[in-house]
Amino acid sequence: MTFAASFSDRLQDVIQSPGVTPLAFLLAFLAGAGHAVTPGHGKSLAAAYLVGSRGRVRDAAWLGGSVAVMHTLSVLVIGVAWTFLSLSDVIRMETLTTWLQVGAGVIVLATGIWILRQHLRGGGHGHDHHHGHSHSHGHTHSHAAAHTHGPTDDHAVAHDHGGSQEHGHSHGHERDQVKRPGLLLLGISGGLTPSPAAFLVLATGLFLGRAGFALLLVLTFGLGMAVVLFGVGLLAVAGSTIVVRGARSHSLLQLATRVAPVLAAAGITVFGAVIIATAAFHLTTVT
Amino acid sequence: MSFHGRRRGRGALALAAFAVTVSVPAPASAHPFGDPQTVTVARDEQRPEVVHVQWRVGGPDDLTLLGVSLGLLPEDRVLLDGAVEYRYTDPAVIGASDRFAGYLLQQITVADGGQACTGVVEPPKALGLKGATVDYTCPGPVDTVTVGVRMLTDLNPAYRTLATGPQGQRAVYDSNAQSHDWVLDGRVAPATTTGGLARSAAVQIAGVAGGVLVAVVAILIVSRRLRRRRVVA
Repeated sequence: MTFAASFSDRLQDVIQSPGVTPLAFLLAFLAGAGHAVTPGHGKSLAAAYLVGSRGRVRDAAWLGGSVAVMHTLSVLVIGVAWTFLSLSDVIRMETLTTWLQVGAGVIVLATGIWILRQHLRGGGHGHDHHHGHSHSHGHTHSHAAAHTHGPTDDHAVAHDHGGSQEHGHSHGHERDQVKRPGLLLLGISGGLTPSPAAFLVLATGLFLGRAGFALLLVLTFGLGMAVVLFGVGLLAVAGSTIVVRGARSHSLLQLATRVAPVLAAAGITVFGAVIIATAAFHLTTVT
Repeated sequence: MSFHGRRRGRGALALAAFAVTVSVPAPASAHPFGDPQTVTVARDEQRPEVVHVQWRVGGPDDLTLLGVSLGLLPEDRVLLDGAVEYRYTDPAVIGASDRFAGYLLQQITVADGGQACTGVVEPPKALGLKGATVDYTCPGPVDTVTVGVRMLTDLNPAYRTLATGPQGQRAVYDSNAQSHDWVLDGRVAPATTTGGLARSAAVQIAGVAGGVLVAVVAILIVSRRLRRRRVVA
């Protein structure tokens, strides 16, 4: 927390200092990474989702990217509205960000319910049949060729064909279609509420007539967040392989893991509800 | 390795990850980087020697922190980890206090040509929402005034104040920039008005967005070409 605050503090200084320096972007990147490390950015949720949905490296990148894009857009829209459209006369920032947390909670809740339904239904049959043919003729190869992250993913695709019938033809292409929206939704929920430090940088930049520089700093801040979330996603994807190896030799772990995906999905749903409830309670105290 | 084994293993990790997730959100803490405090400078329409300065706090916890530092609220409102426990009654307690009025007059100063203007704090009606206004009476009619703002920087030097003046003039106060000259008679340079700043911001933002778009398209084209080469190889 402290080092993140320190970077944020220095970041505020560079927006007011004349000139554009590489140090400013380094600070913005570190401040973003430091911000993402602090609790409450859905890192564990995203990791749970990646693990539960058999995520790959590319999915982790999608997650990080969606957080960065959403966060930058959120800061930009709110910063411009606050500076030029007297947003603070309409709604207080405290209230606005709490409402955004409600929105983020709704997204998490909806994503959790959606994953839960996927598990309970055994995968979306409509999609499976729709994409089944095109996949079996080409996609396995293109995926294997496109990725450089080793045999693990290739094996995963290969095994899907053999053993996943009860889960509804879990081909690689279909997995992307099922997984990406959920990842994007979690990314959007993670980036929906603007970081106070990034918001202040943009507002200060807009006040000083340095909007372009400030926006670039906010973008770099988002990249810092994205890299941390990408790293968490990588750990989740890589760590799952290790656990799988353990599960093969420990029957207790095997038993526990049988129901775990459904529990994780239910957990994400419950956590979404908790976020909404917490934000709603906060709204009653600040308004 | 069977697919089911892989899936279960990932499920276990998902469960472990979720266990880490379920943590209580951090309580509100004073945040110099949060909702920024603002100041609005305006000349009285009827009396050209009077300047109104309205101050609005950023986050409610910042106001509570100020109340604690002024001795108006108990110190245990600031927790050991720096988090601030604020209550909806805090603004009324602080706003009714003479100490707060004294703090405003001490931290916000107005001068006309080197001569200090005398401030009187209007009794705040809704300090948390509408802020507090100080009326400064200068020796004579004012065209340009120097306004000094040091609000909350004594609590934490990282606090900043985003200030607006007539015709959309803007300034940022912080520990290093505690004073700014405001033009109150309407003869403002076009670039410093709301319209000028907004146009400049729109052009700059569009430029950055365009640059990012070009970079993304370039990366996509390059990655596709590399992918094709690998497929061919």
